[in-house]
Amino acid sequence: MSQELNSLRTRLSDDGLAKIIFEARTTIRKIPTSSAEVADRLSRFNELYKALPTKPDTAALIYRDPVTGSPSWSAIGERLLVGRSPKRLANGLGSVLPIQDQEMSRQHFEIVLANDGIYLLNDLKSLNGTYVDGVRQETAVLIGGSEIRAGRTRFFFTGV
Amino acid sequence: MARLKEHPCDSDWEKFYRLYEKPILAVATAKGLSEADCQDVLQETMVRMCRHGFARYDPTRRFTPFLFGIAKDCAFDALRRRARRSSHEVPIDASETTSLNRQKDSADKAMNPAAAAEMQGQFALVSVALDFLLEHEIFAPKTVQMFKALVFEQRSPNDVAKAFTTFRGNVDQTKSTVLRKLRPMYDALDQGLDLEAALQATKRSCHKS
Repeated sequence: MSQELNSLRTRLSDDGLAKIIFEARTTIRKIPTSSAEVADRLSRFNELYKALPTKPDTAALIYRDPVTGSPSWSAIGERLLVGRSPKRLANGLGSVLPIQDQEMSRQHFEIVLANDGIYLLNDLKSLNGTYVDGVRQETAVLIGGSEIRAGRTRFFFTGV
Repeated sequence: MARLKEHPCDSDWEKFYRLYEKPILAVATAKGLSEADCQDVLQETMVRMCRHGFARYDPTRRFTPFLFGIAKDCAFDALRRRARRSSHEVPIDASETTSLNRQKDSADKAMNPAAAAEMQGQFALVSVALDFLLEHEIFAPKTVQMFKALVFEQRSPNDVAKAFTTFRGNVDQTKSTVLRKLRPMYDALDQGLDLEAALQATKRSCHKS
């Protein structure tokens, strides 16, 4: 069948093509419909990403600065600590992203790169909580386009 | 595609999303992922396309294998995440692990998982192309009804001719007419043209012939 599909580009008999269409209808019935939430989230991601004056070439958080409203981003690296006045670790590893948002805790959440290459978000016992794709989470695995809300500020994880 | 290469997250992007969402979901489904994971794959594939994909795509090559390659990478990542969530090992190719994959036919099982996923994506693309042609009322309503009876319902040409009180030759002609327009449409989609451009390509092709 895959051979037949490749030759669709050249000359496949009408009967062969009709057979493929019948198979295709079966395939379509099996697959889930796309979620409106995903489409909306992607739309918000794109709007913000498009507005960035420079684009990150590595895993990053993108957001609008709550004070100036300007789009910005911060690379994550091995670990990124986000909050109103986050403190850098004593060993100097990782980076910090201070956000002037009064509804955020001083140390609100962190994103860490796990050994298996997966990015994990940990809420740091923040007062108002951390929401990933609209759900309050203590720990979450992030994927490209994940929307994080902390205080009044929304962030998007760009993925790798 | 050229416009998306220059402005990857612009309004053309929404057209792109509508066109390829189902084929990407089909690729994810064929990899044996749950519905929630399939949505993750769709989201991540679209984000990767927006960030790097359009810029890296070589327009001299077919577009859909490139797109489905990214979707397959995202599906692989989704399997890794699932392994982490469940905290125990799952096979890298989890073809046998979900109910959706149990529905796959024997031909799929004989095929390697990557090829099976590619094929499901191509099937979905054929379906998208055909739906678009039928929705845009390029054909008379009776033509569409006859075609659906013949191809979707797999009724015999004689049976369809009888049901529509027409000649068998007309039934064959109907099928041929729809398929002749589908071929260039599918070709155009495979090259990454948007829906309107694909429709124009189809019309041009039909005029030539």
